[in-house]
Amino acid sequence: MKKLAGVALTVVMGVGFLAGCGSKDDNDAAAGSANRTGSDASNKVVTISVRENTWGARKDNFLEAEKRLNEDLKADHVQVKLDWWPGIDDDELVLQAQAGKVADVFINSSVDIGWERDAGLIRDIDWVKDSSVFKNVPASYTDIMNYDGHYYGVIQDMDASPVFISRKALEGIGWTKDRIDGLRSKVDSGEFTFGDLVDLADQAKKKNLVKTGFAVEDTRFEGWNYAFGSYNYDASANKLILSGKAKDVYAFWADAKKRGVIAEGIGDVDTDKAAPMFVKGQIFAEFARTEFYQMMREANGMKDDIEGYNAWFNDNVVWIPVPSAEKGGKPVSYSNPAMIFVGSKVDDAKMPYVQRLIEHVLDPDLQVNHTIASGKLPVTPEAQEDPRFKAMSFYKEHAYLVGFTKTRPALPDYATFMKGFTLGIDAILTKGKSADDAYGIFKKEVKQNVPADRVTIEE
Amino acid sequence: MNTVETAGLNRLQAASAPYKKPLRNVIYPYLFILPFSLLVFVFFILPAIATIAMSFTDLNASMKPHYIGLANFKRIFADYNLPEILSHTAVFAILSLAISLLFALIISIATQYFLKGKVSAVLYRVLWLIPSIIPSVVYVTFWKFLFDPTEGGLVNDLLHRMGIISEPVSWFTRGAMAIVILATIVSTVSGGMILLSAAINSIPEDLYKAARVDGASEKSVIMKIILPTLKWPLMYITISDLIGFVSSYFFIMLLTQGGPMRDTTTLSLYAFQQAFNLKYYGYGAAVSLIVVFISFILTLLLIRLFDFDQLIKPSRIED
Repeated sequence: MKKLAGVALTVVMGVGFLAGCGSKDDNDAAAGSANRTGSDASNKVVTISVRENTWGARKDNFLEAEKRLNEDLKADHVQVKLDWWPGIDDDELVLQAQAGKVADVFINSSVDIGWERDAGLIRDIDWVKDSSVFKNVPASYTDIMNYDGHYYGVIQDMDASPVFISRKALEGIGWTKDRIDGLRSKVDSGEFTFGDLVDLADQAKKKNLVKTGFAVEDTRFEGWNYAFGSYNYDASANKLILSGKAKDVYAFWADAKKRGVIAEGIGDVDTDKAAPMFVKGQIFAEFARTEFYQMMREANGMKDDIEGYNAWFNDNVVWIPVPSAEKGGKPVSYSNPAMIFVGSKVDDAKMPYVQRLIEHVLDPDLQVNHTIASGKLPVTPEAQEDPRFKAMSFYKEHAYLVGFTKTRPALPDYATFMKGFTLGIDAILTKGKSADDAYGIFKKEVKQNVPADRVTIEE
Repeated sequence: MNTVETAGLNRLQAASAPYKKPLRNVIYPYLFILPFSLLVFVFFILPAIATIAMSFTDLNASMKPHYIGLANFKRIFADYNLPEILSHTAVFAILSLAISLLFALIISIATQYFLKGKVSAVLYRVLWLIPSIIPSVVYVTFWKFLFDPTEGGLVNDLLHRMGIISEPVSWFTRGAMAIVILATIVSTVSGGMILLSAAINSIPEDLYKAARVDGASEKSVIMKIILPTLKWPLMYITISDLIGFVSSYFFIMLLTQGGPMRDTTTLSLYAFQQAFNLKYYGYGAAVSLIVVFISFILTLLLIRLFDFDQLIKPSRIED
């Protein structure tokens, strides 16, 4: 028995040691390969580590970009090899970075620039400024890629956040087809305001044409902030701003709650629930990203019947950008684009290859491949000229929205700031608090939890 | 002294010297303990030390910690949310504990005493086990579906069909804490039920028979025989469940994310949110230490309450 136990113990410990040694070797090998530039008999090999992200055509595009780059580099006798690392969440990203493991290229949200930079995960990529890929993109794009005076990321894809409105409900209110079809241009010109939209939802509710006035994707309430000109961020000072305009936003929430346009559980009805409800004609207006178009197709049972779905969509839905709260104001769209980041361990010798790889990922045809797979909008005007994209009427018509699309600021404390803002909304919805009370809660939270040097509180 | 005498003396000295175990035998138990000690050291002690160290720093997403002394702890006590969060923690822990304990007790007495040996009792216990063996995420999805705020929610649908409500009710904004407590109770009752059932099962049948011969009522059997037997299992369940509830955040996070507002935010969820949602690792660590401190104090109080000394005293037979 003792012998058996002894052998078992030895095996357990042996396996443990071997496992430990094994993982270390793997790590070292992986970390080493990330930075290795070697050469074989004929070619210099450059290994670029990329964190896997299989959503849409992201990974496929990297694989294709690798091929194209290697074609380009043939004459130089250089071969680029992608070393795939598993995709991980932010927490693990931080921990692995602490252990010295940072991939050369990875994808994350635009809001992550601030903390990733501060944590030493990413490095500046100011070549974006002169890259031919981005020479024609609108200024709003360069704003997103720029943080604290440098470029830190490359927009991988983009989306817009329109308002999907029930055409049947508008008809029920008495709107004619022409009037409905002309709604978008009135929003674009600032003639139709956010308040008008609330009034319409109110009428639709009162006439029992719908069960819910407004529904919103996730808790992306920022679109409504932007509609009221409450932008929360001063890029020049790289600081958050708590402005009095937030009071106007809260006033809208309180009014909409009182009129029944917004239900108290609005945050619990995400797009997966909202899509079938919208299809059934129960929601007047859904504030969601363009992906909601795809979700409604599935909710309609028309996943493979694109023509049939488009016919249904045209008969039942009209979409507009989020209207401005002010007469004559510009409409709003908002997004959280994914960005391609370059790891801090990429040195200047390796950077040209990383740059060219990323530029190939953004080749127009690859961008459109991703659009087809994901429903995201292509980033560059060149990609928007692709015939396949032009044939996608719904997405094509949205392309102009990205010109005025706002994104969440990339400051690390933004989440804390927004938590305070959302608590104010919760107070209105669930505790019957007034707009002033909600603003008071917001201010109190921000004062307590956001470091004073990161926020300007306007009195 | 002749040779024979010397040899005899040596044997005598050897016999009187204390017995020394061979080194191999001395090392043996430690060899068994070693791998697990290493695991405990790496996965429990080191993280605990790291958490304590972290709580004295301003560690955030930048991962550049600076020593800030007791600033995090001062901030906790200046945090205007603290009284509210502490009261939510108390309500959640006390109600969850009291109700789950009561349920576990009733179920185990019913199935192990009144219905002892019957198939229905076994089936009933198995039914209660199901929630605890379902993966948490699936379990939470079920509760979310149950109290979905739309017409598609099971409760809303049922009440609507019965004509009780005309509009769907947003249950998670009206009674989030009640839902959280209910979901927690249903999934934790089975643990207590198993332990209490086992304890009741260990009571010799003769005791019941003797009691009945003496004319004891069912109530007397429960109060005088069963409940005293359950004292130590009850103590264990109370302490382990209470610590579990005080430090619990997973169900709450998945069900309500601590909302609406902070209505279901407990101290441990607050620590989690600070550390992992907002990336204030230093502050989150400090809050989690407060959770540990509270759990420790509660454990001591309960041990005192249950007179734990009695349990660890040697039995009279050994005296």
